[in-house]
Amino acid sequence: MQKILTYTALVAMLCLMACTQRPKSPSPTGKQPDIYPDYVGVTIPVGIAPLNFAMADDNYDVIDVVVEGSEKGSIHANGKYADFDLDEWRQLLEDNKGGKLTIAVCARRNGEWEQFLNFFIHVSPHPLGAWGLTYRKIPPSYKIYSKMGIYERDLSSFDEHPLLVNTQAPGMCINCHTANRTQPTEYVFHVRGEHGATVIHRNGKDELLQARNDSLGGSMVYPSWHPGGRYCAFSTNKTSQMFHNAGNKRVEVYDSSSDIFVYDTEKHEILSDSIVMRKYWAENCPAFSHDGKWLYFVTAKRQVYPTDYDKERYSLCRVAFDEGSGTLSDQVDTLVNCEKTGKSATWPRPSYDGKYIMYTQADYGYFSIWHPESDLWLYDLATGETHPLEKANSQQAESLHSWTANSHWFLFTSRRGDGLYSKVYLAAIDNDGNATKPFLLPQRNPKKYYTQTVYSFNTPDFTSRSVKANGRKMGRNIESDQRTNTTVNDKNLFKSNHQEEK
Amino acid sequence: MATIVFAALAFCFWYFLYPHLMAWREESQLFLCNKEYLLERLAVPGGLAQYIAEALVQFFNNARLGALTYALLLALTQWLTWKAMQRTSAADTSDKFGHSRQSAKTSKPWPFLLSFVPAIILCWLATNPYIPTTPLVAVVLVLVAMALRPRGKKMQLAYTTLLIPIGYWLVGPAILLVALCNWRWALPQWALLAACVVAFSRLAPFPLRQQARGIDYYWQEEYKSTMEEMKYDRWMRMGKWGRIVDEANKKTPDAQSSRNVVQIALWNLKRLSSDDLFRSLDPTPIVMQSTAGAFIMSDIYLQLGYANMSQRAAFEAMESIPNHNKSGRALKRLTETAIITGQLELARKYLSILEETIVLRKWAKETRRLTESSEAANSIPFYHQMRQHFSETDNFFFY
Repeated sequence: MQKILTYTALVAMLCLMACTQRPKSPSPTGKQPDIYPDYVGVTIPVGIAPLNFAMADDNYDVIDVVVEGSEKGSIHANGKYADFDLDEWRQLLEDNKGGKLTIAVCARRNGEWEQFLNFFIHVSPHPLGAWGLTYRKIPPSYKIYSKMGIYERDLSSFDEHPLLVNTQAPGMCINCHTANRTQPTEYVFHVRGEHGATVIHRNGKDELLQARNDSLGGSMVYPSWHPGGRYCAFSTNKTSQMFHNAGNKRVEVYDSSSDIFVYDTEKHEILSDSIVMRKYWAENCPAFSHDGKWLYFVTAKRQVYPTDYDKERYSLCRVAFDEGSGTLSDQVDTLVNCEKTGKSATWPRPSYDGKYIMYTQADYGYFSIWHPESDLWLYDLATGETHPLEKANSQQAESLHSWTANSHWFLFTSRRGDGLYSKVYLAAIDNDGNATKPFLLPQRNPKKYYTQTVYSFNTPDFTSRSVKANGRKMGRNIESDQRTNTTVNDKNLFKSNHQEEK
Repeated sequence: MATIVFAALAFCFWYFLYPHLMAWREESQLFLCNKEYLLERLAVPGGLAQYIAEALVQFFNNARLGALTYALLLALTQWLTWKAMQRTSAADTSDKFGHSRQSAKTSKPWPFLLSFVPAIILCWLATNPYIPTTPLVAVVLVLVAMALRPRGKKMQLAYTTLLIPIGYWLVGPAILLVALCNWRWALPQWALLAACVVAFSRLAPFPLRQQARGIDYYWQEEYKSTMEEMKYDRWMRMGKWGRIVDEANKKTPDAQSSRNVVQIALWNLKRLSSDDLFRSLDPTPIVMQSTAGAFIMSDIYLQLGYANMSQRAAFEAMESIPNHNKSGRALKRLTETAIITGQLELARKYLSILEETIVLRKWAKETRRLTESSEAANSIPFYHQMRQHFSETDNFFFY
């Protein structure tokens, strides 16, 4: 019996070897391969999932790839696309930490093999410092929305799990899942629709706040956790859309009004403060600093829509926050002044090491995913200088960025490629504050996956470990309509010396 | 013979009375011939029935094929119901060894007439736009499974014990028919089915109540399309401008989107100037609050040369499909508008999806050539004209 099995295995192996299409006398092309995704020259962390890729040109039917480490080891893949063995890939990255991988590619087109120049992938000495990602997947829709969900993705493999899909709470829009410094022990997200709520997960419990506070005049929108976990800053926005008839833009998403405030999760109190709730100004996109002593935000003088839609430009500002009293100071600092840059700053994201603020710069407005000119910029908190992240930016919209807990790595969404569907890219920041060439979030068969998906990746963030949420239970809670009421503490609403009437 | 007559009547019913509903069903889905699509369906209870239903519905834009499909499904339902009734009746009169004695009941005409009732009810339910084809297919599959039931009590017990959980996963709550038609073990079968519904509900991301009534057995009527909108939409797609005006003269359409179709018909018949057309059209978002209305507006915007708005309306139409399906018609429109607006890579993305359909594969393969360059796109007069219009039009806003 054992002999039969051995012979069978041998025959099977021979058949497999005979079927494998290995390069035969490839002709050198003298150029590097045009691959999808473009992983040529990228820098990756140890522990990242295999960077599988295919030839960008569909006319190549087989690709043969050998990856050799600068320190030791090599792996091989052959097929319609390079599908590396997960364990072999992991070991190769471990063995070559701080070194580089040399990738040799041969591909077959019209029955003829072609050999390309080798390219390199750099293996960073810095660990990723994250288990994976969380993100929302949603079609890039307009007013009507369909299926969407918040998912988590293990970055060491291709595994993706739904945390909450809106089929579990039918008809609801779920968005802006935001953790406290990548820790899944504290997070917030929103539910909009008939069973609207702001869900706050803290101390192992889910609390569903009423979606709208009438005293506030709106709902809680863009959140940012204070590192202490008691406070969470929010914006409250009255958002509208208008649609371009022509040109390379489709939608303008704008606010007829917006303010920001700090929410006290223990007292269920909205701490409103006139310093960030000015009448003729639109304050937006709050973000606490790494130590919680500052609250960054953007603000713009409100404009008349639709005539002056392209004149609304946001400046990047900050105001001191006292955790003990839960109050903001009376002094606002302007870090990036739109009057000087002539551009609009949005989505400030302070790094967790206190060095930088990454933000998006667009020609106007704040809803940058619909602005192809949107680019990532980095503000150096020590020098006050700011510069674009050249290697990360493209001709399409870059936005919605986040840092890893160790602040060596960041992610962002980009619409490069097809110009509409946002995809997640990851990159590192070097010691000079420059970004490495970003790499697209790996997938098992990335070309097929990204070509055929009808979803955009939205508000991605790193997570230090798996979130382990119970979507079914959350769906029931959302549909239950049991909500915690919030109150508005307006003792600071009229405190400041601003003359504007609220 | 009666079954064949019934099938013929069903064909006429669907072909003459509901071609617009069949077209609407077709445009409300995107059936893909790939492993991922099949696995996505099979991952939830009732998925096989939904998959087969969608495989059939993909041809519904052809009214003859659609009516023929309904006729066959309904005739099959009636015939299998009759067979099930005969077996049940025989089982009731069988001796202790399982051998059936001739039943007097089967010789009377009324049981045979009764066998038409389920098919007629299903036919009536199918005329509700928000009851998809899935339950009809599910019932047919259950009836087939019941027809394949082995003889002998022990074998039947084993068969139904296996059939209920497996059948529930594949076809959904229609498997209830097995328990209904077998009174011998009614209570344990009902208990088993209830246990399956509760246990399996943990595996699919839908509320228990939706799984219990069938995930794709009934659609939420959130963006409700009316029969009138479906009719006007179909006539517009077919370019039946005279018919549209005639119908509108008989009765003014209720829906604003339908009234917009009348205006575009008058314009196409040169009975309305372009200026009058622009004045009379209502482009407010309210007309896109139904799937059919959004499809109508996508066509109208494209005829008027507003590619961006046509694109938006196609997106709205696709996103409003009640069971979260995508749409072949919408993706085709999104491809066309992407070519017009110069987003050729985006157009190629949509084409790669459409190339995995049966109905639109040929069109997608032919259109791919146009996405290779602007020159290739401009080689077709329609695209050349639309691209030129798009690049020369001043920007303004719609709301």
